[in-house]
Amino acid sequence: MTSKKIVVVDDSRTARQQVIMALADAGYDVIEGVDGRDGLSKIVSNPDAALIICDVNMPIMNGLEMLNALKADHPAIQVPIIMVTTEAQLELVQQAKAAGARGWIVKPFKPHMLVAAVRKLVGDTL
Amino acid sequence: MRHEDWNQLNAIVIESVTSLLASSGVETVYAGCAEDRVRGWADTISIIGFGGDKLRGSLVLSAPDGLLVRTHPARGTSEEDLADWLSELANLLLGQIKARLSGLGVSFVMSTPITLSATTLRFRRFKGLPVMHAFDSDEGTVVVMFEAIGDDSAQLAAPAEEPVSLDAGEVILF
Repeated sequence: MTSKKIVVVDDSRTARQQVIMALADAGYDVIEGVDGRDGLSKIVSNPDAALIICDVNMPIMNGLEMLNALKADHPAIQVPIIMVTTEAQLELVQQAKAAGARGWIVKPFKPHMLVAAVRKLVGDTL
Repeated sequence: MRHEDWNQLNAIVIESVTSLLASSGVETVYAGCAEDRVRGWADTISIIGFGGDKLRGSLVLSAPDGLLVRTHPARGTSEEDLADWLSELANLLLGQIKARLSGLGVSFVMSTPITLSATTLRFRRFKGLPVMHAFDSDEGTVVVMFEAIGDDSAQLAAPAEEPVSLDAGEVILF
């Protein structure tokens, strides 16, 4: 069976590594993006991705801008998105929700909590 | 900002450092606030800026390599791994400070962090000396400088009755 593909967008290499380790252990394939613009490019070139995990504060294009650009320029891509970020303000969470995000996780996170959220959104049972 | 607001701000910085490092399995003891230009700085530091209506400035974080190796989430050990992790720790720390301050009516935008390496680090400013917080751990001393400029008329508000932010590690799905 082919593993489901997840796009992980974060400017911190350590943060990407942490997410990748958790997802790889759970059997997912991961594609990395290093900022919002790169992430958008990776999402567009991998329309079969099952999920996107995205940071908020990033150089070049931040996560909320990426979310809005995806919605405006590529409406056919309907992939669930979880924001994983140090930002914790409910106001930002609401902005992300309005832009189409399906979840929000505040760093630092427990890997098993991330995997549980991913499984729920991609429809995988434990 | 009033003197008591600065005291409260410093308490928030200390609480945030202690809590963040504890979540990575490192217990620290607050070793005081030092008006000392060179105390305990490692050769590598991370700097992250912030700006808002009431408060702007930067946070500087220095941590010993042993602590970075022990807490690296992906078990990285190279110089590049540790520099990146130090940046991420500065980002996490400022995020926790921001979340605590948001409940007191202070909000700001965070920059992305950078990490610098130098043989000798010395911080100065024209009015007074920067205040640095030192934390002892079994891996050595962690130093945090929270360099902030506050609007004279700005004050920290009373704690919000309803939560305005999520907690670290919290997960919500829509």
